[in-house]
Amino acid sequence: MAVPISDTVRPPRPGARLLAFARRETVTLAAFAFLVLILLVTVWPGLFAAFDPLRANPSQAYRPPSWPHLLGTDNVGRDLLSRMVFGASASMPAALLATSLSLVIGVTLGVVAATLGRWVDAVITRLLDSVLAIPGLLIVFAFLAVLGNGTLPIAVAVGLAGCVSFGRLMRAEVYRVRSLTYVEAASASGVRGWTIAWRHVIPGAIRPVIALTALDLGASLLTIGAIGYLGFGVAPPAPEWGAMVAEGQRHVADAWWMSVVPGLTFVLIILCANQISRYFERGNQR
Amino acid sequence: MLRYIGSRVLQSVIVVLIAFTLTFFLLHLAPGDAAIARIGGAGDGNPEQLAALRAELGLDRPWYAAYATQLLSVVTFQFGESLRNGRPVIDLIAAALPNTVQIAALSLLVAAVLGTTIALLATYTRVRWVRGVLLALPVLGMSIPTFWLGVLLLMVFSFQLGWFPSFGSSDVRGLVLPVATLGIVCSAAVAQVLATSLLDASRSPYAFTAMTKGAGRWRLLLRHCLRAASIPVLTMIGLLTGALLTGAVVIEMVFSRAGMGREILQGVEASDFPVVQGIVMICAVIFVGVNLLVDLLYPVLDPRMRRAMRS
Repeated sequence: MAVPISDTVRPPRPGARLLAFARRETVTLAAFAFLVLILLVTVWPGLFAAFDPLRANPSQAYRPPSWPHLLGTDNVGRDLLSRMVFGASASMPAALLATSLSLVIGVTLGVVAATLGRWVDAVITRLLDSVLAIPGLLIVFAFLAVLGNGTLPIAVAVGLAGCVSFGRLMRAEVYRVRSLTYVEAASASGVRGWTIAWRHVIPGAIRPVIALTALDLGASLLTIGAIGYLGFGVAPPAPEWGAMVAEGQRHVADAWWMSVVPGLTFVLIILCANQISRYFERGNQR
Repeated sequence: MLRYIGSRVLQSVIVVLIAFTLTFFLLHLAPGDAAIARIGGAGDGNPEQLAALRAELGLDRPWYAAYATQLLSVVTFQFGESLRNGRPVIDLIAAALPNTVQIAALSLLVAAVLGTTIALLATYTRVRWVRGVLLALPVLGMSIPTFWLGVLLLMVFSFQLGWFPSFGSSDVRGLVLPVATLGIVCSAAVAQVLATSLLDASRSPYAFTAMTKGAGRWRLLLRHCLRAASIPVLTMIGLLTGALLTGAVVIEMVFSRAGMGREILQGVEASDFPVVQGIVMICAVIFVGVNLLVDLLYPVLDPRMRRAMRS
């Protein structure tokens, strides 16, 4: 029996689909919006800060969060919100650079290892294992010992340490995709390895790679924050979130907000990054 | 079986050797000359001083000669002498390492107990919101910077309540807050992995068999599911070693305790390469050693792997 084409089942209007998506993924969208806000703050801190982040004003010292100092003031009366805003341009670019480095180097190594195979694969795999064996923070310390203090060596070191997970993911992804029937068919009909990598492997791997990128951004920010807390990176009095936690610890008895505000900022950003990561991770199953 | 052990040990040795080579090239062939970096602003442009320092650092020799000497000394766990005070690096590490390992090991214990409890309760409960809250805890835990949690616990438990000292390594009470901090952060990873694998195990055919034979929910979870579900956790713990070591280093600085943290920070600030390299290598050896142990434990814990190896 022929199935009549029913006119009650219409393709949903594009607006309706968008609305359904927004309803289903409210949390992910909120996380994304928050990260966009943080990026805007990083690029144009002047638009978001009401006060000079460096000017001390002793008469306003130790003000708890209230109007006009929404997040309070520190021990010398500097506005904490303005310092947080300008601190973004210290921590965020370093984390973004580190993650981009991990992404580019890691993905390249992974694809090369799995595509060329044999001894190249063995060498790259051992190399990645060895980098993994040195905890990320120690790689940063080694770089700082050689190159001296600075944001750039920190970002490069964090980026190199982060390569491992991208490399392993891409390598596994290439092997997975290559065993799919249509890719086997392509390779049997004489398509070259590099063409297969470009046409089939990379499009298939985009989702897990985006998921890992978001996760790695959060992890890089955490490492860079820890380094800042330990006193490396941006020199004071310029604000940096990790260093602000350390400053807050020195005045913990007088001003709890001085360490709570930068700490909570870390938590929020990393929660948002992880939420986006989880969205892309499960995406394919929907 | 012997072949499995042999190949694992060999792989671990190769990984440590490559890690050593990487740090060697970083510390000795870096574009910024190590000697210049060390003298810094103090003796700028004094060629004699520079030459003397280069000789002392072994920078005047060809790289392969320096590599061979260093390799020999690292294999015998002699990392040379500190550039600051001439003390053998191995003595310095021997004095600092126990403090750090103590914190890391106790934190691992806390993380294992706390993580297992959260995962078991989340799998056991049938109340939706309780499970939701329990499963949200690890997500939150993974987003908290270790150093900040340390500051928070200090704020509440030593400044507000006055229960624990805020610094120092003298007595046992000083250990509570550092271990709690690192334990809580690391328990998040354990809880997340175990909750996922417990859920898988509780849906498996053998869990169904046990249920039809009348096993209660606790018995099912503890006797039948936990053992199978613990294998991914073991892998996780191997990988956590790095986080535990660096976490301990950071936590030592939060609570002003003596240990590897203080040594490596002083080493970095003074560009004291032997100290930095020694600590990096010790941590790499510990990481590789723990993961080797984990690899060797799989067949002990999982009979299926033993059978696979025999055939």
